[in-house]
Amino acid sequence: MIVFEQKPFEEILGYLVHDEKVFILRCKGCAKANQAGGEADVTEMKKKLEGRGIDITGSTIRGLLCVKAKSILSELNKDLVNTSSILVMACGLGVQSLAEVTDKVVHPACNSMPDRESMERGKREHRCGTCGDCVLEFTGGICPLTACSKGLLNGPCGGTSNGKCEVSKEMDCGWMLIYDRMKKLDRLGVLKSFLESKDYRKMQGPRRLIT
Amino acid sequence: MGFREALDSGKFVVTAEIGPVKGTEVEGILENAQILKGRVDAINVTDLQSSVMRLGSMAVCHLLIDHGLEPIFQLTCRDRNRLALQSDLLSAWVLGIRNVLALTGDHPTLGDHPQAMPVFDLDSVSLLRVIRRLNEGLDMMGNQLKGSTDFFPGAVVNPGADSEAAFEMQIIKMEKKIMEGARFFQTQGVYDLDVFKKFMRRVEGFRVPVLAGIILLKSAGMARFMNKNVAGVFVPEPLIKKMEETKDKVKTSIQIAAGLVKGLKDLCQGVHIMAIGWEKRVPAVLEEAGL
Ligand code: SF4
Ligand code: SF4
Repeated sequence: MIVFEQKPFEEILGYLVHDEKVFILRCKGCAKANQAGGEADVTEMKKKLEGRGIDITGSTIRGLLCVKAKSILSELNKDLVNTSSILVMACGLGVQSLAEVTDKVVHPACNSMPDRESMERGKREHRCGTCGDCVLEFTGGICPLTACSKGLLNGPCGGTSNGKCEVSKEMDCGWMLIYDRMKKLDRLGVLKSFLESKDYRKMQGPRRLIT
Repeated sequence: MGFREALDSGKFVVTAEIGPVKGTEVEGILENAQILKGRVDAINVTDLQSSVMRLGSMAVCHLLIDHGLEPIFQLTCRDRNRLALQSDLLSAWVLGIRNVLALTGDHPTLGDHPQAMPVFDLDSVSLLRVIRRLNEGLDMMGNQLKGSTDFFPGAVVNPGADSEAAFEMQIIKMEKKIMEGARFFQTQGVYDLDVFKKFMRRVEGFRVPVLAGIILLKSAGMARFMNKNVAGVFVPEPLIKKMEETKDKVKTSIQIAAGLVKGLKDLCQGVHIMAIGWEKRVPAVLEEAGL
């Protein structure tokens, strides 16, 4: 699930040229995104844009844009005849899915970001960065790539203080957790193993997983 | 006698530290370098210390060489991937740099460009392995180099880590660094000789020289700030009190540092003095310590 929030209004306004006829499409979104608003968001956006002289040809809420962009678009065909561009209130996936199936200009109205809340709710040690070469065997089942702010593979940096990470006093130092776990398991000797630097070709990144 | 030879000779070695300027005015750096010349065995040049963007370590190391001083090139994993790290090491070598201190580096969020991408493609241990390979005439992938390096690699360790886990991990990592070729260690600032003695007892068997860090205290406020914010640094209350009560901060600071140096003489192989702007006072510290 991707979390998104609306871009600053002035930024959105800057995307739209003066004589543009804009249709507003908001994704019904996944559960999380839905909490953020809905009808009210769209109405407010419409009002604000009209207030600044933008011609709004219509607006609607449909979902899920990321998987059903094509059918949503064909349902809207009639409404879009007099429209030159679509302002999409959705995550980056939704905007891209729509751009793939329409010839009209597509404007993103939102910024997508990592879902920090659910990341923090989930326990650190259950997080995985899908690095393609798991080292949990050597780190007591706690992932150094995600539990350490620098993804250090061979032990902590010098920034650990009171068991916390130098980046934030709110965060445990992953390497202190690893030490404690390995001590409990009576496997401290294993911490002396040298772990090879990661092969970034195996990791998720630009143009890695999707071909 | 160069830095490497000084360590080999068994004499009590002294290194100091210079932080490059944020900008291009190098006059101050060169002035400090002149003051330190002949008084120390080598000078560390920090690599964007505290993740604050500034003049680079390699350029300043090169300037020091031009002025007849021996630099220790600090190299962090924060800003360069493995291509850039290896290339910078080759560049440093052809510029006459012989000593490298391999570091992880502070996280960018602590500095003045907190939006920067943290790299950490390698860590300090794997960086040491890379240096060893370059010395053998090979890059990280095993490709042959046309002309190798012969660096004298060092690393850091924090003897004042504040918990069992942090302390033990420092020792484990120190061992890994030695395995990967670290030939000397410089430490975080030491103020408590008993704590340091305990640390040295643990690592003596490693038989790798340790230069204990000395941070010149400028004020009681600075001491309190470090106690709160700098990992592994602990200034005991009596020292803070001394700084608070003194009429002559500079004199007291020098006395405290010199006292520590004297106490360290029998504990380890040298000291690394971090003056943080007070480079001019370093000769006085050494004099007072009888060096
Ligand atoms: S080491 Fe790699 S595969 Fe294993 S948990 Fe961490 S990111 Fe996932
Ligand atoms: S303090 Fe711990 S978690 Fe934070 S970067 Fe250093 S080793 Fe990683």
